[in-house]
Amino acid sequence: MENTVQPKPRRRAESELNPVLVKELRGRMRGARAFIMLTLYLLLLGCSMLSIYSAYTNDNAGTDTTGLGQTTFYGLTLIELLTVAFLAPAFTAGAISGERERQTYELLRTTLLSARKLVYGKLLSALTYMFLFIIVAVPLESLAFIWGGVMVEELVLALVLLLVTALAFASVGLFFSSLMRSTHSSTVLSDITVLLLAVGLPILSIILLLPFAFETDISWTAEVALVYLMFLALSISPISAAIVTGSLIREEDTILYFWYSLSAHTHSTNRVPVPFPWIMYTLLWLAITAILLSVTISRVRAQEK
Amino acid sequence: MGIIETRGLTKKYGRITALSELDLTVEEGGIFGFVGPNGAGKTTTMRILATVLRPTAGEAWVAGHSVLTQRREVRRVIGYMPDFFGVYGDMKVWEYLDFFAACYEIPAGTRRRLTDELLELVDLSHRRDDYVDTLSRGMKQRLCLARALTHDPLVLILDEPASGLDPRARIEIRALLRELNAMGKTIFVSSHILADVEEICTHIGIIEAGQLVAAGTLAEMRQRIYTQHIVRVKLTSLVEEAQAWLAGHPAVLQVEQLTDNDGNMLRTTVAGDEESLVRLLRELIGAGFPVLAFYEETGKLEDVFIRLTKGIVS
Repeated sequence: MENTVQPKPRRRAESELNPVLVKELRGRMRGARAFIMLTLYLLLLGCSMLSIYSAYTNDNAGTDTTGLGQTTFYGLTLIELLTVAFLAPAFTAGAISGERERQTYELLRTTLLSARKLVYGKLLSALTYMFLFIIVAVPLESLAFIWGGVMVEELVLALVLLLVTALAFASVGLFFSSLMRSTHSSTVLSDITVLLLAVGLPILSIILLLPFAFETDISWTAEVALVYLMFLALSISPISAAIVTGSLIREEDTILYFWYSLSAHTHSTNRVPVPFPWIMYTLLWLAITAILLSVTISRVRAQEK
Repeated sequence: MGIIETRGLTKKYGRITALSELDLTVEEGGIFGFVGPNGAGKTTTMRILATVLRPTAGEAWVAGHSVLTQRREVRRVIGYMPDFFGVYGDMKVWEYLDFFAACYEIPAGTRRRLTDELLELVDLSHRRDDYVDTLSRGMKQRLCLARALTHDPLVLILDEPASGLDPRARIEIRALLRELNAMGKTIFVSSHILADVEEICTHIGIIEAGQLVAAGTLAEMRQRIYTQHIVRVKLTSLVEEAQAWLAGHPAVLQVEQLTDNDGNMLRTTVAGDEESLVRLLRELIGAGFPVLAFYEETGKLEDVFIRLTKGIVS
């Protein structure tokens, strides 16, 4: 008896690019708008760099350019982080609500396109564009290497922070887009959230926690808890996480964790290990992103009333 | 089982009942016109069948697949066109179709040919590289119809496909629907324009206040509301004699001579079923009258609609 094995049908559709991603990128990159935005962004970075350069050379006359390299690198990274933090949710805040407003949502939902593919397609298209923003700034940042004072690890960490910020904050925009009926409300809520998380929460946490830092009569456990809370609060915002990570790299000459010396000496251990803020920031926001994306997909899936 | 079946389909929005225990069967291969006043429940029914809305109670099947539990299978066999829909204005016509074809998991290798064929079918080949925003309303309707056909569905669910169109665009859509039906597609279409429904539909369902008032072929519905037939008889001669003969026939309630058509036409009201008409014709010829034509004057769908509905809105 002849045994024939039927080959499994090749699932070609799954190996193809996400159609939403293709459509969004086509729309986004068509015309002059995308390139005008990139040009304006590069102009902003270029002008910032010139300002940093002139300010630094006015204050520090000498031949040592390592300080100039560091200042330029950190200055540009912070501007990039701010841009990404505010642009990423702006690109996704209308992703789902915009489809509803355009009356194209029902058409999409009656196709075989899954909620997951729709959400990931929207997210990836925003990330791809954000990635362009990050990449085009690399030549400017590389000037810092000519002046010196910047390690390759710092460049890698800056890229990690930028990518995590783009992913996380784009997910915030997507989440609100699935939650709100109008793109306007979704954009406003995304912007408020970003502002609170990137600027408000770290400042608020420090204001609330700072009085305890000067408390001399504090137990070991309370001080340890306070230290971790302080660094966690600083790790919520990409800006504070970047600033603290940068200064710790200079001080500790490592990038993973450092030993924090406690003031309370009542305990046998007077030092505790604290992970670098970039690690806490990355883990925290990857977890939040996973939750936000899962809720967004569930909402899109369940929007048949 | 029909290609579309609903059993006890109910949809409530708070206290308002949009659809009340709807039992509907749409047979495969026909064009089913779904008519009713505004707010009767047509769009709600169609949206449930298209899997974009969940019913409060009851069940519906398309090609044997449940709209509640086999949504993906249902989406694979239907092409849906809502009453109001948007288009991606920044896309080119071919890109629009290519995008939806990709959403229906059609491989990239066959999409180019498919897009060209669909554009040819809806007569938009000449606008292939234009932006969707530049198309007229009628063209956008046709493009949306092409979009609904990308995955070669068995059933087309079209909610008011001709609404807001000018007469020429309406004629084009009607012709397109007939062509699609000839290609084997079952079409479930709602429309306010009863003349369109009458012209293209093989079956009709009338819905009012969320309930199905009547369903069947147009002839069946006419039969249901009319207990008498209006028949026109054309003769080559002996018109007065035939009028007198008919006036004396027990099945004939009324007979009059029409002044148009050279005066050779009689309009006769006949009681009874279709068999009575057959008998009358046989006897008329048997009596030696030169009958050139003998046909029933059809009541318009509008008459049927007015007779069967009460103007209630849910």
